[in-house]
Amino acid sequence: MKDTIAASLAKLVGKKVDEIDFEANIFDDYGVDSVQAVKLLADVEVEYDVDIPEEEAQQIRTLNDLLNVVSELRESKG
Amino acid sequence: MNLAAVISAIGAEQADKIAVIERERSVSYGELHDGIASAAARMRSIGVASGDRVAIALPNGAAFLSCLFGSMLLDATAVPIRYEYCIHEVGHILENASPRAVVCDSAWLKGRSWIRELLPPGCDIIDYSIPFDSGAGKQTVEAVSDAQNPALISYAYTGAGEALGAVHSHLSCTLAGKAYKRHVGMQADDRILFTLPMPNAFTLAGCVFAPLLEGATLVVENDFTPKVLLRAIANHQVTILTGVPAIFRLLATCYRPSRHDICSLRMLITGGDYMPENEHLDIEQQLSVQMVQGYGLTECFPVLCNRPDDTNRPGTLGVTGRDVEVKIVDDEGKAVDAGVTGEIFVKTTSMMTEYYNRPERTALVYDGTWLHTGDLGHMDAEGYIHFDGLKKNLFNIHGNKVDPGEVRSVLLSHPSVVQAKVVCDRSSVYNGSSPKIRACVSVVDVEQITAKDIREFCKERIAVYKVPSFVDVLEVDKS
Repeated sequence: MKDTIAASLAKLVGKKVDEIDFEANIFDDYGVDSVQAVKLLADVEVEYDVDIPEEEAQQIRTLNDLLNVVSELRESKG
Repeated sequence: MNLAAVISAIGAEQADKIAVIERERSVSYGELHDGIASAAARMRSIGVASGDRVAIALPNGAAFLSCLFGSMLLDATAVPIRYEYCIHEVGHILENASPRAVVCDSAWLKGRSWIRELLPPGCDIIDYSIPFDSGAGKQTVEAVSDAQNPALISYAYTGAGEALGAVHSHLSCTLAGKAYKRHVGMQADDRILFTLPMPNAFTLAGCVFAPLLEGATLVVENDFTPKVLLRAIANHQVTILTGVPAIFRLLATCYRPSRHDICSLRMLITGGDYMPENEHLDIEQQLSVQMVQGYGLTECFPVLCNRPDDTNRPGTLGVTGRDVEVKIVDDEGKAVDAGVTGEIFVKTTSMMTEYYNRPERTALVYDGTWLHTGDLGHMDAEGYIHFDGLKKNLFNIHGNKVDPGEVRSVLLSHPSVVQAKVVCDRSSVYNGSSPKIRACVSVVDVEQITAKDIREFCKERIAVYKVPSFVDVLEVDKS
């Protein structure tokens, strides 16, 4: 999952996958804007068949945040 | 003739018909009529009178509409302010418009502790989140105005040092709404979904005036996330979705026929930013809904649009409707032949009267008959207008127009910044991306200030979509 999510962001911001830092703030460090953030989350939701609640989506700043939210949602689905 | 009275009258004729669907509630035309009267009464109770201006900073919804038309009902001029504007924008607008009142809500006030210092003398704040007791029941407010009186001042972008507010009369607004609904074939049973900010002229003409004048239903959603829009389309049987290209791109990549029901949709309307032909056709195919592209400006409302029939030409801005003329001119203002690129000039009955209190700036773009749009285009042999870029110095970020001069003036207001340059970085137009604002600043001591500091400084002063995505911080040359 880590590789797929990193690849999604890499494609969005024009970087190589191995350049992606999971602790970087995607807005401040990669210049992601609100439309790109929506696209990133939407792609991940479709890929992993999860529905990220709005309140949690608004808290996401790093790829690790996103990874944690998606992992928890998948676990609770069983 | 008063636009607010015209719309209110629809409430009297079809009180039970739904006018606005928001997340939390539906508002009927009868309730909207009462809301408009109540807003007008509340404004009047603090002294708003004919000829005053009323600034409105509320999110999209029935409350915004009540205040917009409530001020018009009093023959005052509505001055909508984008809800996300910060001290720089609000300050310039208040200084230019000098309103009698600012209508907002407590959430807006909470993040803006500076607002009271910016108010012009005699200007009051109306906190619309606090209920208003109109005292003696429903007060009737008699609508008195001339069709030529100013109904609205619309600020497209605030400019480096000057807020430019396009003033539109009741007649201009009404004609814009009527022309738009006629051109795209809007019907009374249409349900129009949009997330675009209501203060924007495209939204006002196409998603507020047009549907309300037709007696149709507005579906307001403040979240442009595809899954939210897809749910809204299904839940409310939306027939028309209006947006900027970014919204349709997102929607098309997330739509799954097996999961999402969009069979109620009959038309998509795109504007605010250019949608190329191949992308347009892809989106139509993925969503199986016809899309029409249009073009307009704050200064003169919608100008061109394609029609939702076999005259639709994806990749073009469309054709003019009745009462609108367009010509393409060279640098001397002479009309050019078909196929030749020049500046788009517009003549219309929905023209602004002026930029409010800015006669010199008005004279630069409006010669009394033709508006010099600052956009480049050409007409093809069939009469369709094609977009060829911007002549004026503006960035277009997902449909939001950003004046680089404004961003630069904010950067220069930072105590450590000595020089600043703002450019539009088009090098990273990847999937789902847009041009990015990049700033380069020179500071005295590069150890003391970071790119993040500069971005945070900007976020406190201007709307977030104007904040540079990338900032290069250099040390000023001391030699």
